[in-house]
Amino acid sequence: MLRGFWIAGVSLLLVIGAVLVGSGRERSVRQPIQFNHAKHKAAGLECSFCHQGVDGQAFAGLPPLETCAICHTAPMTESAEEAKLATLIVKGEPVPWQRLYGLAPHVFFSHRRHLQLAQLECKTCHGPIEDATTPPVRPAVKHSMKWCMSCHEQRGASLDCMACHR
Amino acid sequence: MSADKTQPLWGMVIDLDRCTGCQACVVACKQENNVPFSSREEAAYGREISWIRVMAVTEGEFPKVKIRYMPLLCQQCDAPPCTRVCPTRATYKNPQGIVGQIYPRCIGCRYCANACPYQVKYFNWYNWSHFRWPAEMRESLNPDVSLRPKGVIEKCTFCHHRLQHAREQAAIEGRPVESTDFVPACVSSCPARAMVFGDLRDPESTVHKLAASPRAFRMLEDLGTEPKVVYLKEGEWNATTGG
Ligand code: HEC
Ligand code: HEC
Ligand code: HEC
Ligand code: HEC
Ligand code: HEC
Repeated sequence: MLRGFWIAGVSLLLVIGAVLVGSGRERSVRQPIQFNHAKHKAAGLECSFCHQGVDGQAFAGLPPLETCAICHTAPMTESAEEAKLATLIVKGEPVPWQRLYGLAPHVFFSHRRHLQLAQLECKTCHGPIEDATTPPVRPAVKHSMKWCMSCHEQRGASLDCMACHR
Repeated sequence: MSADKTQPLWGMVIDLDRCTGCQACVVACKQENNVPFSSREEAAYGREISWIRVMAVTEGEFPKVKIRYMPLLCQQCDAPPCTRVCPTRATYKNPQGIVGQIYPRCIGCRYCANACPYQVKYFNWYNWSHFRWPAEMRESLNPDVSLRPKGVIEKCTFCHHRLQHAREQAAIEGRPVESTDFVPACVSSCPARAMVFGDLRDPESTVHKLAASPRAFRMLEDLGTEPKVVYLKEGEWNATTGG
């Protein structure tokens, strides 16, 4: 009888454990260079300096090597991360940045619409990334359909399926 | 969803007198909407996808035979029979009157395809990767249109992705969307200018004027589907007599 409880108890724990581990294991993003948003903000750079499409296009885009090369042809710090960047710049090899945010391909999203027209802040949708000293390993805000819809409802923006789906 | 009267009612007019059956619209549509080209075997199974196709209608008997060409695409019915049978509301008529298909919502039951009197809803039998597209052609995939997974129905949307951009552009310019803001790919490719597109509700628009022509008819209009694609009948010109 007691043995039966033991087996049941242990199996239950195992199941709970498996569920916890499974749900905790979200895709985490590792960047090739430990880029520091906070330092570059302190250097006086606008977001759109590196994410060039953000004001006028659908995609914000990640910075090409040339953007980093504007300042980083000669080392400015002792940082090993900066040294990595310098090597790539000499070789002319693009930095293989990994995407942190990304919607399913059947969704249409435009930064221009949400910045130029809706006048939203980056923070609302990306969290405090400007203060990040190392690249975030997972999105600060989960971009689910529910999330889009709840703001659209509040702000009176379109709720038509076809407005967002393609 | 009810029709929004403040927005254009998109419609198309196809002048059959001008159509030469050249298939430019068919190619342009496939290119624009990432519709793969099908093989002989797939076509033999009836699995070819072509959101717009040119039907050849043969009339008369030898030696007095005549072939008429008729481009056939989703008629964007204002009373669509297909949306009524969809169990998941994956297909529906949006506030601008366009009949949409929300692919992630579609379960591939094909009720809508069977309810469509025009047979212009296509079931996707293959994953996109089934069509080993040449590398050069992968580069030309349109990022504005998603690749449909296997097992869903797909269809013409009047190039709704172009409307998404047109709506954004109009909003940026602080004005309502106008009749001339966009045309679907088929219309822009037609060398004979047989196809015209615009706001059927706007009395100044070309489509509105042409739709009022005595030559205008809608396909199978007795069914009460209220298509927003209008055809203009061919004149009395006759291939056999030449006049
Ligand atoms: C000097 C260039 C630079 C500036 C300026 C900059 N970023 Fe970045 N940003 C990057 C790089 C490089 C990455 C990729 C590495 C990372 O995630 O840290 C990135 C990643 C991001 C991402 C994640 C993108 C994704 O989905 O992969 C967001 C969001 C972002 N930045 C927002 C901002 C905001 C908001 C600002 C302005 C406050 C800003 N960035 C300023 C270079 C810059
Ligand atoms: C407008 C000039 C400018 C541009 C463009 C720029 N940086 Fe920097 N970067 C700086 C400055 C200034 C520092 C030094 C900050 C400090 O430590 O005082 C720096 C420091 C760094 C460091 C060392 C940070 C640390 O943790 O000590 C790395 C790595 C770096 N940048 C990567 C990049 C990458 C990658 C890009 C391109 C996406 C880029 N930078 C673009 C100005 C720039
Ligand atoms: C309304 C929410 C929203 C706001 C505001 C917003 N973003 Fe985004 N951002 C997104 C979404 C959603 C994605 C994913 C886009 C996709 O996959 O198509 C994204 C993706 C990105 C990316 C990854 C690369 C790309 O283009 O997809 C960067 C970088 C980025 N945003 C930067 C910014 C910056 C900088 C700002 C402020 C100037 C900003 N975003 C404001 C929602 C937002
Ligand atoms: C914090 C608020 C907010 C969030 C979050 C948000 N949006 Fe929006 N969105 C707006 C507002 C406000 C507008 C209307 C802008 C305008 O034109 O004035 C809008 C407009 C749009 C439009 C244009 C609709 C049309 O009428 O054609 C699309 C498409 C869109 N959003 C997609 C998305 C998607 C996809 C997401 C989620 C990934 C999202 N939005 C998240 C506020 C938001
Ligand atoms: C404001 C923008 C917006 C609107 C309006 C919208 N969606 Fe979505 N939808 C999204 C986003 C964003 C996702 C999540 C994509 C992702 O996970 O990357 C999504 C995901 C989905 C999914 C799930 C896909 C999956 O892989 O699980 C379905 C189904 C769906 N939408 C159907 C609909 C239907 C039906 C409507 C109309 C009632 C609708 N959507 C309206 C933005 C929108």
